[in-house]
Amino acid sequence: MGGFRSSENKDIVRRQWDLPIIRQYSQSVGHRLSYLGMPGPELADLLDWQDFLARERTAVEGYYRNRKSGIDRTVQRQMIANVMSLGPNFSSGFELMRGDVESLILTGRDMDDRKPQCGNGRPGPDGRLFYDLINLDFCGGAGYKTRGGHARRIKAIKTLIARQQGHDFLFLLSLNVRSTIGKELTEYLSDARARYGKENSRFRDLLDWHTGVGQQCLVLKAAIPLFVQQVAEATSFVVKCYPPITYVGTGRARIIHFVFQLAYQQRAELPVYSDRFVPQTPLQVLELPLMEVKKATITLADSQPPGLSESACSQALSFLSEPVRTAILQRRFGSSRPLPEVGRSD
Amino acid sequence: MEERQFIQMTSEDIGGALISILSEGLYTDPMHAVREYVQNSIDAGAQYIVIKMTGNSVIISDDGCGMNLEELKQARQVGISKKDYLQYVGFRGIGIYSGFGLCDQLVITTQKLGERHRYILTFDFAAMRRRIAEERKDRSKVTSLTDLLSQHSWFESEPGDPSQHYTTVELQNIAQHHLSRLYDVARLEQYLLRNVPIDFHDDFEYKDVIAEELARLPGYRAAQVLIQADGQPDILVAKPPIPALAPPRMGYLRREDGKQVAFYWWCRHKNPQKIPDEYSSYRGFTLKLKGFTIGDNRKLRRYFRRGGGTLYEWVVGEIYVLDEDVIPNAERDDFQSNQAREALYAVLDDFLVDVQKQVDQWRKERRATEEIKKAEELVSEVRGILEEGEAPDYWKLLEKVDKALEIIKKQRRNLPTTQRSAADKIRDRAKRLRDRIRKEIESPTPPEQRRARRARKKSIASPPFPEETPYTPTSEAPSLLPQVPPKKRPLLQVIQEAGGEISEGCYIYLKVIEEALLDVLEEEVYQDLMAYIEARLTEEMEE
Repeated sequence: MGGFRSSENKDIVRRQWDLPIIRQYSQSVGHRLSYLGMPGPELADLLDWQDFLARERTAVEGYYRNRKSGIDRTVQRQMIANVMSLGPNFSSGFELMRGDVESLILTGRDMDDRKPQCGNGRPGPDGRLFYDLINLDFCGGAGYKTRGGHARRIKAIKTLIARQQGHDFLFLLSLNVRSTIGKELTEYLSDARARYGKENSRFRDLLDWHTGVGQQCLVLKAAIPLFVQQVAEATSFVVKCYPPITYVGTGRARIIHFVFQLAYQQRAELPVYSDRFVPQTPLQVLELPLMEVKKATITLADSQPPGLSESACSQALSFLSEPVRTAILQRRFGSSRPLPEVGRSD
Repeated sequence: MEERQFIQMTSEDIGGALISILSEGLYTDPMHAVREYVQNSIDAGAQYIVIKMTGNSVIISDDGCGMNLEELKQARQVGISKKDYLQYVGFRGIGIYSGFGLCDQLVITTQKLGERHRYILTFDFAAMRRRIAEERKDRSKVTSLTDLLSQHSWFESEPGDPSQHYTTVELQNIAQHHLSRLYDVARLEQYLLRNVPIDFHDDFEYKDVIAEELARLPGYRAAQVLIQADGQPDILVAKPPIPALAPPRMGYLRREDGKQVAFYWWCRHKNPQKIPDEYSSYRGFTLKLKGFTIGDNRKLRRYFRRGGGTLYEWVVGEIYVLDEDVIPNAERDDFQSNQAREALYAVLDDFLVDVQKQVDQWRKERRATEEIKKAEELVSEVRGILEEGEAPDYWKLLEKVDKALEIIKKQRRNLPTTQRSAADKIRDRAKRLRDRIRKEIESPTPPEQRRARRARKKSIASPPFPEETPYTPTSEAPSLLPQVPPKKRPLLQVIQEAGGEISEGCYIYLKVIEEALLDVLEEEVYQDLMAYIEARLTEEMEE
């Protein structure tokens, strides 16, 4: 749930990593972005990104059961008090949906049976969502498999993409690297290896590297983008995945954070911002560098896919400002050479 | 018992169900609870209040002074209020419990300027209701009011921002049937406009001038309210900026014994017409007591007796009752019956009759001015034709002049006194034209002579008629014609010129009257009087 407090590293990711992506996306689509997410009582997302957010902002927040006092709505109460204290412009268009975000996505309704403001509220699979920016900031992992054989969180991601069909959006996803569906992830990656790696040895090698190093965050780095890409393509979206970034969050939990740009492709022409949007192949997804927040600085993680070049890194980080990008690359590659030119990749 | 015994009551003697009886009895509509919390905000000095409806919660947030812990504890008290009856609307100390039957939990979060903490008071009304219901079934258990409130409400504090001051009241988990009523924001807007002291919209032309006067009234406070409901555009609740209103008239109403009982302001439409339909709920007068409305704007219509009260719709205004002995009834559609009420209504009767007279007078003056202008145009037209026309239809011209004279005769008395002499001049001109036309009908001028006269006239250009300046009743109204210094005409001359005959006996009396009038009347008034006498005499002679 989003009720946990922000951490310093998380603040860095939100302000130095997500913000440039959101700014660039908002500018490319030419409007402010409607928001669905779990901003927590501190409303960090809404405050840090407010210049690019539309009036329509939907926060999802559950309540907690407390042995002593029963239902504890402290987080919801704090969120409301903070929203209201920020004045009428801030509270206008802000809505609070109660319950867990997976339920909201799976059913299209919150625990009070209310539809989100950017949704048609239809029950079942006809229920559509029309958000421009969705931030699923889970403090837990990818989830656990239920008796029915489905990991609820994974199912929610699939449903979310299906409900957003026809509406371009930016999808931010944070997961604790710990989860109980490790086996399922490995199985999923084996399927992907068979599907994409049959005639592509580079894909096979890279995938083997991701699963073979023994770091759960590298498994997720490979699995989640490939999964999102596969689900999105089945729903007629093309996907661009930004380099995943990992950090130590609240309670020393290792978190991996993804940003995906999804563009609906069933249209006569590509969107006007297509020059900024380069859909990736599964191989390109695996080739993305892994970023890390270390000592309050964004860096390239120690473990990187084999064959990662400085130019590929520079290309992947092209949304960052040049000084930030240069600093990141210099820390890794140690050169003072001018940056390789960032151009369009095919 | 022969002696009186005063036996101490304990807290155990007052059952918890009292809170349910009081709040559910007093606040029968969910909007009543919203009103109470908004009223508390206004009493806390808020100028801007947001009512936000999100999910099944309603949040009332204000920029008032906020409360420290001590004040928050006092707010929890039942039936105890330190608010001055004269200065505040909420003074019964029960309003905080108005949401008792409405929501499961009531959470008040408040921050006072300079305080490092904000304080939170939570009432678990759902638990209280459950307990009361259980005890209704099981009569052996009774929880006292004190215990009920103590055990189901609690205080918390958390770090706050000392630079801020606000109070947020959240009514959580409101039942669906109440919620749907509150989500009807148009209805809520109308309800708030009627029941809480709502400020004028910033775009209202006379906001500042009226607000300045209202600020002097004891206990007057007003705020703007913004309604924000999920999935609906925000609605600013403020008295609307009604366009095209004449400047306001304001003042105090006093009883015969001199006691000040009310303050009023009113504006009429700039043109002789109704306040537009979209503001129909503001037409006429609204009675206010400490900012909330008594009855509606139809309540005082009956005092506009003429013409079925049509003129009532030409004005917009408010009357703020200041007499503390005038007390609203429970329905807030009238006052409790007492002497103070009767005295107030007597004063209102006089006042509203006078307002109607003023509006009626203005309407007549306005109409008369327009009609006289038409007459003037007719006279000018006839004169032009006479000057230019080769062989005009004199009968038609006579008809037009007669029409102009008829208009002047009919409308002169409705003109403002300052414009009457100008109208008289038009009438004199018309009469001269009539005489000329009649003469032409009886013995027409030969064409050669007419041509020669026209040629002569052309060489002496006649001065144009002056442009009329817009009629402004609040300022000195301009004359229709150029002002000429008044010339003292003796009464006797006026009578004689009008064709009257003066006998020798009357002459002495008239001379005395004439001199007396000259002594006591201002020159202008004297001239007006002479003009009036002349007009009346002319009418008499003609008839």
